[in-house]
Amino acid sequence: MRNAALCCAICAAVLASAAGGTGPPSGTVLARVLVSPLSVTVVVPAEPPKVGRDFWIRAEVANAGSSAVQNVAVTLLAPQALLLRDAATQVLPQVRAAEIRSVRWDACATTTGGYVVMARATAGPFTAESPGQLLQLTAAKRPSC
Amino acid sequence: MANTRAAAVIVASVASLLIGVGAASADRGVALDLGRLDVAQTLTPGGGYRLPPLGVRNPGDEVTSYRLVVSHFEGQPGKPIPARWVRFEPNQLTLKPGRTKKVQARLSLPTGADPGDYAGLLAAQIVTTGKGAQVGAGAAAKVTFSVESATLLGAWWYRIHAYLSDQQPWTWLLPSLLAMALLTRQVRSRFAFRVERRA
Repeated sequence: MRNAALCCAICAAVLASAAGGTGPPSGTVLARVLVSPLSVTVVVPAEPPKVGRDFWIRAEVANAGSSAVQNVAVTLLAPQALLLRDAATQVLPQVRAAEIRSVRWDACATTTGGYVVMARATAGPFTAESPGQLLQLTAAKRPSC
Repeated sequence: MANTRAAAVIVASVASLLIGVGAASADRGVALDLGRLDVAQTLTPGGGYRLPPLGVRNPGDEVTSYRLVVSHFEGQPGKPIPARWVRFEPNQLTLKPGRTKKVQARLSLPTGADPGDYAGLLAAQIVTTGKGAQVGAGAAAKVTFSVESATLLGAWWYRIHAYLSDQQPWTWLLPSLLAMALLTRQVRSRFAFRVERRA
């Protein structure tokens, strides 16, 4: 009889600990917020490019922080129909404090229409994304890249 | 002694049950590589726009199917983006654990699109199977854009232009072939040609 009571007590303890482990957390949460010093903007040609001809897309990465940021990977996020002549991701070895660096891609497309492109800059824990820029491609006589 | 053994068996059973529940639960999840997309320029009714690709990743530990949808959140600033305006390619996909696939998205504004600011979520939802209530988790990228006011004629021009650009190269190949056939027919009806070997 005593052993049965002991058994029930152990079971209750196990169940209570399991329930306690899955319950909602309570108390204080400590968090650290990292403010990214990076910002990125995409620049496209003012004149609408023609299909079948190469054009450029540029990303400008700015470092608003007080220290240099190393190895900034800049990725162009572009629709698949846009053929990039360069690697989508290019690395800037360093962006000094209060400096703006440019990354350029040559691109081409075979179909007219609107393409929304944007860029992402990543360096360690910091990530910045640019607003989307609309690129309007117009018709040409030889629409092949 | 027998009671002690029974107690040990019960404790072991409860413990194994609890441990078993934890081990058997599989982890299904979804992640997108795009946080938000704000289109800087104003878009035109009737226009077609290719959006940057959405990278859908399976961060879980089992094969999972996903469906791409357009949704919005209550009380958002701006009009909700109608689902029929956005086309995903593919609109459903299955990924192994740790795999990522790019989904192309295209925004097609109808000719009668109301001018103003629009906002919405491009979301990848987990496709659930089985009976009973199903809750599919999802990840989404916030999209915002503005539509300018345009005349109906201008909107239709944009719509036709977008359609023709979508159907390339057939839009210029078929008329060219037709024109060549008509020209050949005209030439043959006006001139007679005979090809023969020189003696």
